[in-house]
Amino acid sequence: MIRIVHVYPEVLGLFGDSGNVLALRKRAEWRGIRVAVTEVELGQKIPSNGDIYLIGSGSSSAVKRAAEHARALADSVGSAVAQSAQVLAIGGGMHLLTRRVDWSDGTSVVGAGLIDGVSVPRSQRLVGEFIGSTDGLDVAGFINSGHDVVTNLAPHIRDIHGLSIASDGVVAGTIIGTHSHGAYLPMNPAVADRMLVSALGDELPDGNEALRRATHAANESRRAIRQRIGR
Amino acid sequence: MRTVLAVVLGRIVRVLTRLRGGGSALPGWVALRVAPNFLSTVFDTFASRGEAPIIVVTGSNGKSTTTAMIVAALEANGHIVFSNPSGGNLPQGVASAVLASVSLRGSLKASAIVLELDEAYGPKLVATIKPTHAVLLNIQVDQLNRFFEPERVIEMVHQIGASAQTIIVNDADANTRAIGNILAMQSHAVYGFDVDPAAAPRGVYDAHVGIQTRADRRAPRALVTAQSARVTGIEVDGETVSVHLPAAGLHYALDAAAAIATVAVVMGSRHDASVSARAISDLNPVYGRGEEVQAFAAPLTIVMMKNHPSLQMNLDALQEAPESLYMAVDEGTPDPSWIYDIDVSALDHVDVLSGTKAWQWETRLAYAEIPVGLVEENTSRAFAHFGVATTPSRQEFRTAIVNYEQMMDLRRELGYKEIEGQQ
Repeated sequence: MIRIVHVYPEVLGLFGDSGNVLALRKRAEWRGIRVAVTEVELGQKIPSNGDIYLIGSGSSSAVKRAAEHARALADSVGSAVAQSAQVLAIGGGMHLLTRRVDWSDGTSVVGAGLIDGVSVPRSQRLVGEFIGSTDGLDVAGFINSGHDVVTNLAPHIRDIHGLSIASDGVVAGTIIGTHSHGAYLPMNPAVADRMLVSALGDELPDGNEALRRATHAANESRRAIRQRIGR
Repeated sequence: MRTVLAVVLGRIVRVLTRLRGGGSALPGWVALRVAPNFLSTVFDTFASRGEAPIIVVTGSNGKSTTTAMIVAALEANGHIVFSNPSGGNLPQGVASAVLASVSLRGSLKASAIVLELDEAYGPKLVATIKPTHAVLLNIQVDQLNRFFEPERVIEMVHQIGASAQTIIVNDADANTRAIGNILAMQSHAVYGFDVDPAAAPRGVYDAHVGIQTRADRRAPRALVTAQSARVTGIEVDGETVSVHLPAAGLHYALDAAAAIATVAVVMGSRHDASVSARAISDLNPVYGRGEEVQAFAAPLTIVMMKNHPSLQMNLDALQEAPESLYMAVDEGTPDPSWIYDIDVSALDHVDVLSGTKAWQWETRLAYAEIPVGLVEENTSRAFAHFGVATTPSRQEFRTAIVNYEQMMDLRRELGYKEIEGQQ
């Protein structure tokens, strides 16, 4: 049984981030692994016994609203991470986990501080499809972001083509952050499967035909993006 | 003098482009190059004639449909209306439309103007148009690759609203309602249209961002009391009229309520709501929005997937899963991440999936375990296959769900020559 906690889906979910929950759940279920998904709304207590925490993207006003609960996030998700739970945070959700988010008007909000870095406005907004790699896996997606994370931590995605950046996101222990949507995990099933392996602590059983169909479709989606980028 | 020159040159270009069967924005572009003040001259001349309303319509969804409805209702109630054709909502498009009905001296032969405005260009255009009435339809998560954040759209729609003395807002949408409340405090006259919550069990999919006040709704000037498929009841000025919608869905019912509220506000006691209802009921669908075209010697209903809310409301409105379904999405939808927010359970299969983004939709449908017959990125091959592979048993049950660009391509391929945005 894998416990997935979807954090603040009603405010953080601007770019179809519910797809990340769907991909993890389906890819586990298609292999006969049971999954329990808990959705936590703003102000509700976040359980700290989850195996995987998913935090989606949001506009600046959404990140500001969620940041009012940064302390609760730090406590609950922090203690889960201390017990080696995994976190995938997208865009604004990743910014929320850094120490501080600066806005272009000079103001800032305090983040959960689970990622040792600061989120700052980009000089130019980044919008478009990209391809890249993470730990030897080819990944692809779409980035639409006005903020970046300043950190000494390693990036999650390297060798990026299609956009004016070389790398994206952060890896902070078991926390992964990226600006990629698409949604990220449906289109990059190898990353999803690796998260499931870590959560299960074991190899994944073979899946059914539905799993193969979804994997093939995702592979073709990335192939199409790679062709558009001309690589 | 420049105005005369702009009209003459613009008209010549208009004739030439129409001979070629080509684009529509060019004549307007030429007129604006010759006389940069062309549009303000025309609108100032119109405004100087007195009380005639200048109505602008904006929002994320429903601009073209609502504009067409307001025009039809005003005309049926005796007005002579100047409007921009569906989709021609950028400055060049508006100028092109003006060229078709303006005198050499820049005088429009109309008693009312109704213009659809793009959210992004609107704030700049209203300085020229100087609208008397602004209709604010909704603010939805839409075209983020272009707008970046819904908050920016809220700001643009707010600016368009602030340019008019009289505002008609969608009170079922949290953000346009909030804009209406702010403008009311700044002594604008604000009227609302709304939907009875019982008639909208799934809500209106407004953007959950932005101002989000819980402020009260106004007493609605027009209220959607019931909506079922293509028939809606709208309560206005103490009577309930029945409207046959151009296509099925709550969003079209709200568009009709917006139109009836607007015409009621503009015409006051001279408005005959039943005349408006009949005029709106007689409308054909705007291009690709539930429009029925002929393909493979049978009717094909084109449903547009513009963004999450519009596609969801179109799917919610389906009476049953389409029997023969073609779907196509291309680079006109650069980032289809939002398809994961769509409840696709109204579909039981897709026959053919096409366009450059076909595999992203196939991924979405694979995760929803909805069968797909064929994925073929090449749209010509895919659509030809759709014609051969499907034989709908009931006429209306061949359906295409496509994005805007694919809708235009499809119409062109099927020999529908008129192009959106062209007079």
